[in-house]
Amino acid sequence: MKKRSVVVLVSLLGAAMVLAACGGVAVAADYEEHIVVAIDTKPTNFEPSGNDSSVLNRLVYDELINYNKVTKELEPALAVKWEWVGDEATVLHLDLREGVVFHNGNAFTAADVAYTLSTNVNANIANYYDHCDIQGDYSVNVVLKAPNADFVNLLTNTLYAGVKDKESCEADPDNGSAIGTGPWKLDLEHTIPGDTIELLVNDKYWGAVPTAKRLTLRYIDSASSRLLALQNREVHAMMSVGETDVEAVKADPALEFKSGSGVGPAKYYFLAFNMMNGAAKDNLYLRQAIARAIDNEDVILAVGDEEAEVSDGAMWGYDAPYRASASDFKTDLSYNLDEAKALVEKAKKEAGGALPELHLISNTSKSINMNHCLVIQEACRKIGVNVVIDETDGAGVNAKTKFNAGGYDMIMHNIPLETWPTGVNRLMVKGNGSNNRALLANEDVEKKLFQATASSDPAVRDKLYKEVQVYVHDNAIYVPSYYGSRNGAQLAGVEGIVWANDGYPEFTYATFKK
Amino acid sequence: MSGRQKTLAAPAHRGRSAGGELWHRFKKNKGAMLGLLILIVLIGVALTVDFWLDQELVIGQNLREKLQQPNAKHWFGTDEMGRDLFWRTVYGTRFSMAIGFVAVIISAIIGVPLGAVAGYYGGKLETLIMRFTDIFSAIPSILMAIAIVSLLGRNTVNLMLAVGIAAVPQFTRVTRAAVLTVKNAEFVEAARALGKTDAYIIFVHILPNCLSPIIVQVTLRVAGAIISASSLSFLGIGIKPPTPEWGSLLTAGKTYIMGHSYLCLFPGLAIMLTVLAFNMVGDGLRDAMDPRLKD
Amino acid sequence: MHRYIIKRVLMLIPIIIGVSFIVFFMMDMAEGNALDLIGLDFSEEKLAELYHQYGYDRSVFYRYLLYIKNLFHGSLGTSIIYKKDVLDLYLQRLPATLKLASASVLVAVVLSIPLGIRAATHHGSLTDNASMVLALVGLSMPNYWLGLMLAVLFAQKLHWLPSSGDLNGIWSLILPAITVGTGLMATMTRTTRSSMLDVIRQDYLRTARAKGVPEKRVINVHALRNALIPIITVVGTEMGKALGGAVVTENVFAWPGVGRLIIEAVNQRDTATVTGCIILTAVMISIVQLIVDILYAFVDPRLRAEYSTGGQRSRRKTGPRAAALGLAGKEGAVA
Repeated sequence: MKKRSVVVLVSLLGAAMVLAACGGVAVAADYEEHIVVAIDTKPTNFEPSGNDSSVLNRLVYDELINYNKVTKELEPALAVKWEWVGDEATVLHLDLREGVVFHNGNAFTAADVAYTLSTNVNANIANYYDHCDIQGDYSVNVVLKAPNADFVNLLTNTLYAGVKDKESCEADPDNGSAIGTGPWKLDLEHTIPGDTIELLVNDKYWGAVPTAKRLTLRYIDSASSRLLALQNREVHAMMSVGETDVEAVKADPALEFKSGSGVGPAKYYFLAFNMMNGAAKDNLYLRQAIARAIDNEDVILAVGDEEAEVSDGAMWGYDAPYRASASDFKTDLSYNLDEAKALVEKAKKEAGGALPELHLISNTSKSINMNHCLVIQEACRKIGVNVVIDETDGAGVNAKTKFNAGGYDMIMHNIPLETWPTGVNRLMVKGNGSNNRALLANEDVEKKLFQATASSDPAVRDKLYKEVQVYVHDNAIYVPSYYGSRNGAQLAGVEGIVWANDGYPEFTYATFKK
Repeated sequence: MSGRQKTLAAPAHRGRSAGGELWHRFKKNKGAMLGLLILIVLIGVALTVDFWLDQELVIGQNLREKLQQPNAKHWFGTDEMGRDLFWRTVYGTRFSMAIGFVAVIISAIIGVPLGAVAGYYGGKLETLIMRFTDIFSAIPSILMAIAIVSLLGRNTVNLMLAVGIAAVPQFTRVTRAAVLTVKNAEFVEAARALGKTDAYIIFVHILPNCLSPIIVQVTLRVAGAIISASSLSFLGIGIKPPTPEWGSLLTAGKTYIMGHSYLCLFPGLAIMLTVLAFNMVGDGLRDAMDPRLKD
Repeated sequence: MHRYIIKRVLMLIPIIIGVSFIVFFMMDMAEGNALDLIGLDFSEEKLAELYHQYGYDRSVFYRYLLYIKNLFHGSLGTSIIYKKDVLDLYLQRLPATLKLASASVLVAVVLSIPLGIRAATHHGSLTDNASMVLALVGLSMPNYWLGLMLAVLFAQKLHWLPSSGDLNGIWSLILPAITVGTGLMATMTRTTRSSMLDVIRQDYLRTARAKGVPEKRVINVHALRNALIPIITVVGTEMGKALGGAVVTENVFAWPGVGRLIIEAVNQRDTATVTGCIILTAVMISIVQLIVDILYAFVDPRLRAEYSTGGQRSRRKTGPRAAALGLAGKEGAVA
C-alpha cells in the first residue's frame, strides 16, 4: 500500500513536471515526448543526395524502396511495386504509393521521382540514370544508360536516394530540398547547422507515425562527451561508444550497450598500396611481405574493438553476395612472420638492393586509424621495412586519392561496404573511382566489373566478381584487416532504435518509457 | 627619481661585471635556483637521452599489456599500444623542451622589438604595427600552421616557426603596453636630453624597465607552445610517430581520458614541471635584473 | 572622441582586406578543397558543374577578386559545406561564443585581480607562493582534461550541471566558463602580480605613504591604477582570443560556438566560412582593442594629460600620445 502511494506520488510529480515543461499540453502519460540523441557525424546541409548524413535522411526522407537492415529484405516504400521491363536490366518499372504528401502538403507523384533522380548528384545513381518515362501520376519507367541489375538496391540507399519535392526545390533552391515525405520534418527555425538538428513528428506520415513528438539530433564530436551527456541524462541515446568506455557502459545498470555486429553491412578497414606511383607498385613481393607481416588480431587489439571480425582477405562486404573466400585465393597471404621475412629477401632481389622507405598515410585525426597505422609500422619494422607515417586529415587524404595525385606508398583507410556489389565495391577498383584509394587502373578488372553489373545471371556475376577479388587479393593491392563493429548506447527504457552495423542507427521510432 | 637612471648605469658593487652582479643576486633566490636545477636536469636529459635509453623501450609495442594502470613494472602505466609511458615521457623531453623553448624565443624575438618600436615611436608606425597584430591575432594558429607548412615544408623547424609566429601578437601587445608606461619617465627624458640614440634608449633604458611582463609571457607561453605544437600533429608536421613528445602523448591520451586519465596526467605533469621551472627562473631573473632593487 | 572612433572604424577596411587576403590564400594552400570533400561520391559531371559554379576551374586570384567584389556588396559568400550564407552561420553561433567569452573573462577578472594584488603586496609570503603555484597549475593543465574532469564530477557524479550544449541557460554556461576561465585566470593573476610589484616599488608610492595616505588607499587607488595598463592589455587580448572561440572547450562541452565552426570549416576546407568568420572575428577583436585603447587613457593619468593637451605638447620624434592613439586635435573627451 505504502509502495503504491509512493509510485502514485512519483508519477504525479513526473506528470506535473512534464506538464510544466510543455506548457500544459497533454501528452501520452508513459512516454517521453521529446527524444534527444547524440550523433557522431554532423549533418551540414539538407540535400538528401549530397549531405552524407544517412541518419538524418532516414528520418526526413523516404526512399522508393526500403532496405530492412534487420531482415535484409527489400520492402515497398514510396514505390509499392518494382520490376525490370524486358530481359536486360535497363528499364525499371515502378508503381508508386498513392496518397503520400510531402511535409509542405504537396502530393507525391511520378514527377517528383523524375526530379529526384535527374538532380541526383551521387555517382552511383547519376552514372546510370538516363531519364524517366512518366506513364501516370503513380506509374513510371526509369530508363538507365547502361544495364545495372543492382539499381533496385541503389534506390534504397539512405545516403543518396531520398525523394525530394520537385515544387519546393524549384521554388526555393536553398532550403526546398529540406522537404521530404519521411516520418519526421525538419524544424529549420530552431536548427543550428553542424550542431543541433530539430525535428517535429510528421502526423500525416503514410506509414506508422512515431510516438514521440520532437526529436533532436545533437552533434557531439568527442566520444567521452557523448557518454557524459548520456550518463547525465541529457540525451536518450548516443552513437559510437569510445573504445575504453565500453566496459563502463556495460557495467552501468542505467545504460544499455548496443552493438549492431552482424546486422547488415559492416565498415571495413584495410591497407592499400598506391598502384599508380607508389614505391611498392612494381614490387609484388614487397607488398605480399607486408601483407603477411601484419597480424590482424594485433590490429583489432590496438583499435580495441571487441566485436570486430578479422577479414579473410576479400575486398567485399561482410555478408554480401558473390563474396570470394580463402579457398578461392591462389596465394596465401595470411599472417606468417617467417614467410614475410622470406618474401622481403625476394623483394630486395627484385628491387636490386635496399628497399625504399614507405610513406603511409591515413586520416590520423581519428585515433583508431592512428593505432592501426602504428601496428602496420611495427609489423614492417619487424621484417626490416621502414615505414614513415604521414599524418593527415580527411581532406588531405581525399586530395591525394581523389584525382590520382598520389604522393604516398600505402594508405590505411576504411569504407562502409554495402550488401550489394555494385555500389562502393566497384568504386574501390574502378579507374578514377572515388573510393579507389589504391589508384588502381586495370582494364581487365574494369571489363569484368562492367560485365558483371550488366548481367542478371547470378552465375555469371558470381564468377566475374570473384575473379576481381582474387586478382586484388593475390597481388596484395588491398590488404583487408577487419570488419569493425558499430555500437552505441541508450538509457534503459529506450526502445525502437535500430542499431545497424553500418554505423547508421535508425532513430525513427525511438521511445523512452519514463 | 632621476637617481634611478644613474643606478641603472653604474654597478652597485665595484669590481664585479654586470653578469657577475646578476648571478650574485640570482643565486640568493632559492626558488630560482631550484628552477634552474630542474631546467639543467631536463636539458641534460634532452641532450643525452639518445645515448642511454634503449629505443625498444620507447617504441616497442606490446598490445597484450595495453592500457595498464601505473604499477611497479610500468611506473606511469602503459599506453594504448602497450608501450611504457614512463620511458616515453622521459624520451619526450628531447623534443618538447626544444619545441617549447625555440617557439617562444621565436615569438619573443619578433614580437618584443615590434611592440617596443610601436610603443616608443607611436604615430603611424604604431598604428601600422598594431593593425597587423590585430590581423594576425584574428587568424587561428591552426590555419597559420597549415599555411607555413605548405609554404616551407613539413619538418620540426617549421613546426616551431608556426607555433612561434602564432604567439607573436601577444608579445607585441604586452611589450607595447609596458613601453607606454615607462617611455615618458624622467630617466628616459634624461637620456634623450643627453642625445642618446633611439635604439640605445629602447634597448638600454626602456626594455630593461619593462621586462617583467615580457618574462611572464615567455615563461607562460612555454606550456602553451608545447600543447599547441601537439595539436598541429594531425597536419603531419609534428614529430613523426612513433617517436613520443609530451604534447602528442597528451593528444593520444585524450581519447582514453574517461577510463585511463593517467595517460594525460603524467605528460601533463611533465609540462607543468617544465613551466614551473621556467617561471621560477624567470621570476629570479626579473628580480635580479630589476634596477630598482639594486641597493 | 567621435572622430577617433570613426577613424578606428574606417581602419577596419584595410584590416578586413588584409585578413581576407591572408586567410583566403592560406586556405588555398592547404591540401584538398571542400568540393572534393563533399563531392567524393558525386558524379563527374556534377562535380565539374560545381567546380565551375564556385570558380574552382579558375585561378585562386579570380576567386579572391570575386570574393572581394561580393564583400563590397555586403555578402560574405555561401558555404560549400553548409550550403548557407556565411553571415547567417556566424550569427547563429555568435550568441553562444559571446556568452562563453564574457562569462569566462568575468570569472577570471573577478578572481585574479584581487589574488594578484594580494600576492604582490605580500611578496614572498605563503599566499604569494601558493597563488603562483596555483596559477601555474591552472595554466599547464590541458583544457580538455580540466573540462572533462569538471564534467565527470559535476555532471556525471553529482548530476548538478549539464555537461554539454547550450540548452539550459546559465546552468549550461557554468562548466565551460570555469574551464576557459581557469587558463585566463592564471595569466591574469601573474600579470596583475608582476605589474603591481613593479608599481609598488615606485618612489611616488613611498611618497604617498610618507604623506600618511592609508595603506589600503595606496594599494587600491594609487598602485592599482598605475598597474592597470598591462592588466587591461592582457584582459583585452584574452577577450579577443575568446571571441574567436575556445575551440577545445567548445568541443568538450559540445558548445555551439564560433571557434568550433571555424576549426571544423578549416578541416573541411570550407574557404568561405573560414574567411567570413575570421573577418567577423577580426572586427570583434578590433572593437575590443578600441575599447582597450580608450581605457588606457582613462586609467593612466600621464596618458590622460597627453590626451587633454593633444598635439600641442610635442616631444622629439616620439610625437604626442594623442597622435599615437589616433586621437584627433583637441577632442580631449577622455580628460
